[in-house]
Amino acid sequence: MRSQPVLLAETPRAGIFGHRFILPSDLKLQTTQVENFLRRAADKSEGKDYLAANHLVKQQLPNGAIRTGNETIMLANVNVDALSAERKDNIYKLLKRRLADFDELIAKIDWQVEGRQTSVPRTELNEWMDVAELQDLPVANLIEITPIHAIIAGVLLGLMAGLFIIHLL
Amino acid sequence: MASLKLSTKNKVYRFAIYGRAASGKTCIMAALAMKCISNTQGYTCTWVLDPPDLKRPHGAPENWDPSTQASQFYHGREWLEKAISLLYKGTLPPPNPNRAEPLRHLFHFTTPGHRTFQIELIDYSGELIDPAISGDQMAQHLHEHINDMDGILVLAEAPHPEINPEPLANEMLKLEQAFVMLKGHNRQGPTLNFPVALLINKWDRISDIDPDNSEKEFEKLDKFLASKPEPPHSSLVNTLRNSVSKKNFRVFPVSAFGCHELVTTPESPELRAERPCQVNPLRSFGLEDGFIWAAKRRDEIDIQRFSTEVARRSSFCIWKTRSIFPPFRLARHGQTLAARFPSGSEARKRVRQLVKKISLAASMQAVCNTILTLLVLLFAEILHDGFSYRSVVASEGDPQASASQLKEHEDWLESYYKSPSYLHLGSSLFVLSRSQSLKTLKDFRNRRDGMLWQPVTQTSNELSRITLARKYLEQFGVNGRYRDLAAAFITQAETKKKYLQNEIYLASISASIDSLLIKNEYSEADLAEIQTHLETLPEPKALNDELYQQQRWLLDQLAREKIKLAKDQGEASWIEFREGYYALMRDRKTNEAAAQLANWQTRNNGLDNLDHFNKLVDDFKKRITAIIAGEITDKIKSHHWRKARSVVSKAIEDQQLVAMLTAGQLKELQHKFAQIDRQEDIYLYELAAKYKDHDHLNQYIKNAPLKKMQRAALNYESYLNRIANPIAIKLQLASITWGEFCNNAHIIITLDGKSIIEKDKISARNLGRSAQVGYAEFKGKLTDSTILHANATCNGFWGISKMGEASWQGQTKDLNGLRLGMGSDQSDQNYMTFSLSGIPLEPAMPVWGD
Repeated sequence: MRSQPVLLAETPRAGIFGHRFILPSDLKLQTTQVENFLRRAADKSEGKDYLAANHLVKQQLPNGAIRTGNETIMLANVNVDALSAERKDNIYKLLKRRLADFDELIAKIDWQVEGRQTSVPRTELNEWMDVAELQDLPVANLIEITPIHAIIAGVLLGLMAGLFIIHLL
Repeated sequence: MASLKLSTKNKVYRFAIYGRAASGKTCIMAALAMKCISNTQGYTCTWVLDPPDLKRPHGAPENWDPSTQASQFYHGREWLEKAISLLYKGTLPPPNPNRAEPLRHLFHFTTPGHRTFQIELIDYSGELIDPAISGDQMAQHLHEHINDMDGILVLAEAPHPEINPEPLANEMLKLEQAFVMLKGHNRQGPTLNFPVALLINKWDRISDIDPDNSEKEFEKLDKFLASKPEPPHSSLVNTLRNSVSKKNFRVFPVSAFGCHELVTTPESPELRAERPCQVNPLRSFGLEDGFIWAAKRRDEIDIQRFSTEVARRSSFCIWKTRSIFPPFRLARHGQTLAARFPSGSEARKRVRQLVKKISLAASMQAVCNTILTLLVLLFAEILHDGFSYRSVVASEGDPQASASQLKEHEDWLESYYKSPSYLHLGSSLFVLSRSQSLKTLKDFRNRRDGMLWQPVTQTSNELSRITLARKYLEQFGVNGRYRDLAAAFITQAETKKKYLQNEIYLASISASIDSLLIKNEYSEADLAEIQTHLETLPEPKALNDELYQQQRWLLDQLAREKIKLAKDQGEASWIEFREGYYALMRDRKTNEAAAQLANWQTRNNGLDNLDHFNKLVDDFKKRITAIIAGEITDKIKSHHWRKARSVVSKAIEDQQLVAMLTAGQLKELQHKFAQIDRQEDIYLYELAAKYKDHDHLNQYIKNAPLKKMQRAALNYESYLNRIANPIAIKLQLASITWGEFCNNAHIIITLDGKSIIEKDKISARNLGRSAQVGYAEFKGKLTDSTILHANATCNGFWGISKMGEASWQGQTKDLNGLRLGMGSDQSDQNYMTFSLSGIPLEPAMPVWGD
């Protein structure tokens, strides 16, 4: 089943843990897939399948180190080429507003409890999707890969390969 | 995780700086890449911006595949350049976010000992070094990378005197826990056998570093670790030291900045951050030491491992080496290892010696493996041949064995005997020798031969006999013992068949004649037609006396009927004359035929039946030469030379016959004499050359008409005369070929009971040869009959044993080149070769005409 566009975020202000991904609560992506999006968003705010907003924030770790790192929020799995310029601009503005909301969000999260894994699911990102600007968006080709999908795909590929070999023989 | 694939032959050491977030990994790497003050040990470090053979990926960086080495390297370069730029501005580099693939950097370290180490370092988020998220995919991926490294440099920051030490203690604990988990996933086992260096980073926090006196800093480090209250680093030190094998752990004081100052920012006045007090150059301390130590330890470990592996793989025992393959790959690995070290260095010499040792062992093992393989194959072949031979032996003794079974075994025996010498080597010694296989093959063939011939002789049916004889010849061809008989049967049958055909043919013609006579309605043309059929037998050569007489009688009958018909028609005399002429020509009585023609001509003056008569004369002229030539040929074939000449003379002296010949025909007839002379000369010479005796030679010399080869005949006769008289002959025992061993062999040769050659203390070697053993001179005729006896014994430790004995009888001249075997069947064991000298050379009798 093809998924819809989602909001993803990364912050370096995850308390003692440093960097954490903040994801919608019902998202079933692997961390490596999330990382793939956010890695690209850190370099460039627009890609074929995402739009992102970044700003620099201070990170303070328990050892006293204070560094400046990148905080990112992005709309992933959207077919950017299919968006009009106006709509794109509206989405950018929305994302920047959400960046401003991060201070509040980060303050709300109990990092000691929720930050123990690299991905932190939050309903806020689901709620933030529920606005007019982010409805009926054109979808890019992202399929949620679950283990079941992987198994089915693997079995089908294996069958096709086997039939092909039998045909050759 | 594979190291960077570079075209250079030098090894690339892969190290990981293992540290928590904000421990200073990026700062250390940036400092290594920046301009710093000189290292007290003289070590240097240079950042490699563009490694050879590692091209920048195409397209925008955000589209690069992060799993490729090139992408990781060039992303790393961008990241480090950014960090360096920030440091130059007095700002700390940004934190590494959590990423699936680390960033890579390549550095060249050099030492005053002229070593260059290419070291690859990875940069990543220290937040992944957290025991709490060990299950995370990225954390696991990072652990896998680190476990594949050549060494680990663990980074633990020194405590800041002005900052609460508790968070640092927690960090040390987490680092320790994370390291233990990392160790748990290591494939080598609980004790790590690679270098682990602990870099106490940010050393400038607790020491006013004297960059010219590194020993002092190490003393301070020892004091710090031994200080009370105990620093959290002590536990980490013990954990790390106990986790690795001996000599693979060391602690280093390190400072990327060398000195620092605490600064605040307007945005966060309550927070103070550390900044380098000087950049360009950075006053770094001890940056290179840990890496170089780790690289050198890596070398030592690799040499030790190589040495252990060489010791293990040099053994010939497969259960020790645990491999059936010779260690050529290990030798090549050794070459690569040796290339790390400078020429002439102790390490290089040591490795080269090990390489020599393992190369030799590999070669020896290759030879041994080959021999073992061959032995296994040989043994398998012996087993297989043993089974096959048993089946052969069973059939050999089985009277009920069929021809097809015998054939199958024959084929096996034949292939066994004919096979190349390298096949059935072992079988020849332990199962069946080649000579025995040949003997058995012959026995089988003879038996099958007899089996197939028996029905031929037993059947009474002629047709069946021919069929069986043909089948026999199909199976055995020219090799069959009864091939001549079988061929004779078939030839006889075919000849009989031809005779029978002619007989039936003549019978049918006789029946036709009888039928014609009974009807009494026939013309001369009918008779002529029958005569034509009668003269054209289906098998002209299959004509015995009986058939010839029958044919003759029928021809005479036809002639009589023609005469009778002619009488009726008033032409009796001509017909009688004509048939008489034909009969004379059939009987080759050419003179009489010529006389008859002449008489007719004279009597009738050529007027009666002139046309017919001229036809007869033409017929005579046409056929006379061939008839005479045929008669001459028959006489020559039966060697009746006089009769052959007489045929020619009779023809030439007959005026009436000659009158009917052309000049050419006459000349041809006269030439027949020369032809007869030639054939007689050849015949007599061939007899002389075949028998080579006085009678035949004299016969030629005296009676040959042409005497073309007289000289050769005279030469040979002269030779015979010479050898008929006694001459001085030297008989030499040219060689003895031995089939057994004896250190002290003794041989005696006697000729007609008289000892002529005796020799002892001859050294005999199996398959060896003793040459020019001895000789004897005597006088005798070459044609004399003589008896030669040879006896060989061996004087061994246990007494005298017999080696062989043999006798031979023949003419003295046949001693030349005589090969006398002294085994029981004269086929193998010891044999002697004799030669004669002083004998006249037998002249050649060339082919007639040469």
